[in-house]
Amino acid sequence: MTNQYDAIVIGGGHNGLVNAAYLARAGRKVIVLERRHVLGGAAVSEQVFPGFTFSVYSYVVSLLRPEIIRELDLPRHGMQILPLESTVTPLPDGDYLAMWGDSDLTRREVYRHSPLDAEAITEFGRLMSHMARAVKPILGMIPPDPTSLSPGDLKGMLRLGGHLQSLGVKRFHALYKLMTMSSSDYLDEWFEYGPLKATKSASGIIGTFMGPRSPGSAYVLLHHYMGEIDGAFRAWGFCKGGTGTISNAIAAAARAHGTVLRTEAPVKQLLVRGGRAAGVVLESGEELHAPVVVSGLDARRTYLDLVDSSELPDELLAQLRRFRFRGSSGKVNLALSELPDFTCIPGIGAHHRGAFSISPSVDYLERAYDDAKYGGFSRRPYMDIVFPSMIDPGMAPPGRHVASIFVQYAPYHLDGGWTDSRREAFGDAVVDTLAEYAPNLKSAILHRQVLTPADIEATIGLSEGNIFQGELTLQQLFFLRPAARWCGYRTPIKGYYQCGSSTHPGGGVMGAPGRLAAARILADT
Amino acid sequence: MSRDFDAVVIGGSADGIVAAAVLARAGQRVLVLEAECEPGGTLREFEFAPKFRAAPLAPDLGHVDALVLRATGAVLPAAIAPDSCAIALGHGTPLALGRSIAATTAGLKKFSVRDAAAWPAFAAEMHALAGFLGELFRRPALQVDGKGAGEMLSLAGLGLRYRALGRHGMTELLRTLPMALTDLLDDWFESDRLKGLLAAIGVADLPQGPAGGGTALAFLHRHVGAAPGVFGERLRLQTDGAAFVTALAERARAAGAQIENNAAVRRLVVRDDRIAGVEAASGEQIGCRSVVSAVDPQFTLLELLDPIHLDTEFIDAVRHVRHRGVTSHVLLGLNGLPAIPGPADAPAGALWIAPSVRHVERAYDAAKYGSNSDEPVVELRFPSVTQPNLAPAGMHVATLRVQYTPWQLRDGDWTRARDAMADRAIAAVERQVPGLTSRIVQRAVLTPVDLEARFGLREGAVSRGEVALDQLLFMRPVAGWSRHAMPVPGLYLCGAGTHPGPGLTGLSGLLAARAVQAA
Repeated sequence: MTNQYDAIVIGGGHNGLVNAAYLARAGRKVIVLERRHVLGGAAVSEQVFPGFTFSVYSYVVSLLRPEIIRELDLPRHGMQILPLESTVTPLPDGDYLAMWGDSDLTRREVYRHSPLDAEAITEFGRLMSHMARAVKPILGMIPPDPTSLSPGDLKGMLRLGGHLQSLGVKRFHALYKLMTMSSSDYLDEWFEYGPLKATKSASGIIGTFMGPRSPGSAYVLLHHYMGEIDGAFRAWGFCKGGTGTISNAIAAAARAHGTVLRTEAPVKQLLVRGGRAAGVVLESGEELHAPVVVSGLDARRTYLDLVDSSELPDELLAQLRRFRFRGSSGKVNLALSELPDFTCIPGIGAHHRGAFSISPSVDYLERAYDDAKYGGFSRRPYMDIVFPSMIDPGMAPPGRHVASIFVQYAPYHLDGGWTDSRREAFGDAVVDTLAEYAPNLKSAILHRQVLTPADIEATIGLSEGNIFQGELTLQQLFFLRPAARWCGYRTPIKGYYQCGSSTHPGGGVMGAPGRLAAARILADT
Repeated sequence: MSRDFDAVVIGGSADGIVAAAVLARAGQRVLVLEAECEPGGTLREFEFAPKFRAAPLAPDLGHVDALVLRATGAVLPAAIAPDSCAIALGHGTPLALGRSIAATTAGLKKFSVRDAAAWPAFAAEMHALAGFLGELFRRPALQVDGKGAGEMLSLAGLGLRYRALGRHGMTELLRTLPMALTDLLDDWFESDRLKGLLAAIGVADLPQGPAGGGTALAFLHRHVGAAPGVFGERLRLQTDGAAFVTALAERARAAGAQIENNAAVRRLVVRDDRIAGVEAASGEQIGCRSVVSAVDPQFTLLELLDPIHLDTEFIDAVRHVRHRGVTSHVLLGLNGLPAIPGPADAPAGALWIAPSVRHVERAYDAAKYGSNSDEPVVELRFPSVTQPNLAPAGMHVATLRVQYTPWQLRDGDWTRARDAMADRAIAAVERQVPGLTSRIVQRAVLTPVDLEARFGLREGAVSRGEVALDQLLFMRPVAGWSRHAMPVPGLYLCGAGTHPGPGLTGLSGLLAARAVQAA
């Protein structure tokens, strides 16, 4: 029979692909089913406007686990990471704060604003890499269930306890603070220069519905420090050809191991026979059979869309109802006739090869959050801007450019709902705000694509447009992600697994959930 | 040195006196030095205007653990328990949370049938979660590097308590502690009135809005020791809370402790790298082997102690303790009681102006940017209803706890903002309790700056250190030094700024005394 497989992976996002690649590498006969015409989920490159290619959703890399790059041999399959060299924060007074890949340059630049901070920044960086290293083993751990007395879970808890104890008291306390404090308070302990604190705390709010003054935001700061390219912590990069190239490389690795990849094959529901997974039914009515079905979709879709709730315990359903998505960010992609000329650093130069952060002060970010807290989009939003065509000229026609703008806050639950005119008003707020720093921007725009959380949900299926498949808050991490007792990639239905960012260790183009889920499946079956 | 003791306790607050009583009962020679004219600290009533008295910082004694009573031999003075505990005013019918779960449930039906149905389960679950926290709070703070048999036993005991929560309870505890109160309430209820009231109770005195992470923990912290379904109230005495301190002081004296009033301490005396005594403001040096300081941790460690005895990392950690008081008190003398909406016994309860979660959150937004809320959250009480002696015959006292009013105002200073803030709070109350303003005959205002000056509350924070995940348990007052003994041998801290935090009267004093005994 041609429709019989060892494993069916629902969703061709990067985690689904990683999962499939690992299962296939272990000799399983695997098929990946993707609803859209293109593989990659949120990690796709698409030619949105003729000649202009965009990493439409996810746009930078750093969290992708190095062991995945190594084990799947991704460079051989076309993945090439180009470093982002700097972050520049333009300021309303015409000055700027720049942070460079070269830490000496950064120190000198920070010194210009605050000699104290210049001193602190080296030590801060050292602490963050210590912390990232402390968390790293946890990222590679299948979360045990702390409420269970089964030998496997107890062993897992002991392993976790052992790891935390091995950190030593001081590092444990530092880690605990980072897990529980607000990024603004945390940074106040280190720095005095406002724009520096704001720019650093901005990474603490990405993808969450919190302001930098909300406890719990410091953790996300660490999450974003966890990036490593070729073993170098903290470096963010850009994938040649856009983020889709990563997905394509993983897909190629999967294919090389015999995985069948099918696009435009939306799954309607999970087939359950005798209480265990037996396969899937496609929207077309076609049935595929396998003893193992893995969902790379978010928890809500994995359980509520694909499975009849009568198959699920009430305890899980109650937890899923409480699992929070509330997408908080949007994306604006611009096709440009020329690069924006920032008044703070006139002319076109090396700084365009890095990121620009619109985060002049912590209050600015808080006010942006306040708008969203009460159901509006930020009138003056936080933005993280990169010009991929400066790093990879293939992204735009000669002489032209693309800009990728990550914008926060744009709440999924906008008062009155998202409409076409609201989307454009949101796009205008982004362009207007940015034009204050780069006056030539407006006249340089050839095309503009505005994506709200509602658009993200509609196009790539992420519930409520949350880029992490569920908020990365402390109560939704590790053994609580996405639900206690069902945190270890298994579901209540035997043979049905989940491998998306809704599971530990969460979102970002990291691939870890897909890999850990594969390990679980291979151990189970 | 002219005099010599085993232990000197600085500050005659409830915690300080508990520590003194426990040590004295164990046979130590103890001296308590209280800077004011009598012990009691923030629990004490004072005359805010001629013939009008109030104890606005402690309308409620908080939770007094049975361990405290057992260790000191003290008996709780008579308590009162009005049926209505917290009443939300505004937008028509007041919403009342009562002592009885059944009565509250019946009352909630007017607002939401669904919420009424959820109330008993909510009350039970919050009580169970707070009950587990209570277990954590009545023992020395857990330590990461905890080793030794006693530690293991304590851990095992806690483990059993934890498992006793059941699978659901265990999960809920882990999930709830870091949550935003708004999210927790959204999980349970739909009525904005109910959520607004619970949100205001949860963030009382906190420099956070209910949408801030970890505020669910603050809500639970405040619920430890309360009866199921009773929020915003734990133990109210017929008299002011200082009566309990008086009872404790009697026990301490009976066991041989000396308590001296009007005796401020100027500095700690350190010899050979350990505590050798204290120097009183009078210049007298008093020798002792240990000092238990019940006053502010930062004040003790950075001002009473010469920082030369501490390493810089520790000093930094102490400096980083966050206080950020956001509460002011407006005290009013009234020539009569206005008509108060709500149940008949409403005047004896706490009346809240917190009509919605959004109202509370918006009030917080102002403080975030260093200004006073235009529409503050107000907790209104009429203490003279249950304590007629607070006002002249026929007169009454109203206390308004006003939030958010930041200690550090961004523009201008408090001398100019004080009256405008009080006027706004009174106006907000007047809209719900018409006729209040016309009855005002006296008024006093305590801003965070005044609270700092008058009660020694750093940044005006009655919590003596924000109640937050990173400042509780093994992190209070600073990471790794939560077991009351400080890096200088012989120096111990107790009080709200130490484990287990504010509102758990006497527990830190007891734990500190035990640490002294164990040394």
